Amino acid sequence: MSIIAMDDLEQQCWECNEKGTISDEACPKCDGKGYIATALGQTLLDFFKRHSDK
Amino acid sequence: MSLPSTEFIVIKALENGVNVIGLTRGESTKFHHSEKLDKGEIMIAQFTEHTSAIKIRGKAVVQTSHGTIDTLSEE
Ligand SMILES: [Zn+2]
Repeated sequence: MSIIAMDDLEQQCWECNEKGTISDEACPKCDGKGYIATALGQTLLDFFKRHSDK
Repeated sequence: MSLPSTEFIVIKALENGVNVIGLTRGESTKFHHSEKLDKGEIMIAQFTEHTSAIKIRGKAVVQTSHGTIDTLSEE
């Protein structure tokens, strides 16, 4: 693996199949996001959060 | 966490795109973490104060203290 693909960063929620809602309610498993971050995704997100606001 | 938890499972992916998802401990079980394993990749996961359940989708072999299980192929 040389390039990071989207599914290395996040995976679709099994509960709502990436829709983010279940019968018009926010999906309780992913909090309505539809996707769940991987360890790599979370690492990049934390990095950006720490360095992007300056 | 008071007791050091040594309980862990070993997951070996037998195909690309095996999903491992950790579910939160507590009143509501949310998916708080996910991981994608490609064929041959191994993940060793512990049950922690945050993770009380682990869900696995895709063709994989899973070793636990209770024995070895493999998920059924979708073919
Ligand atoms: Zn969901």
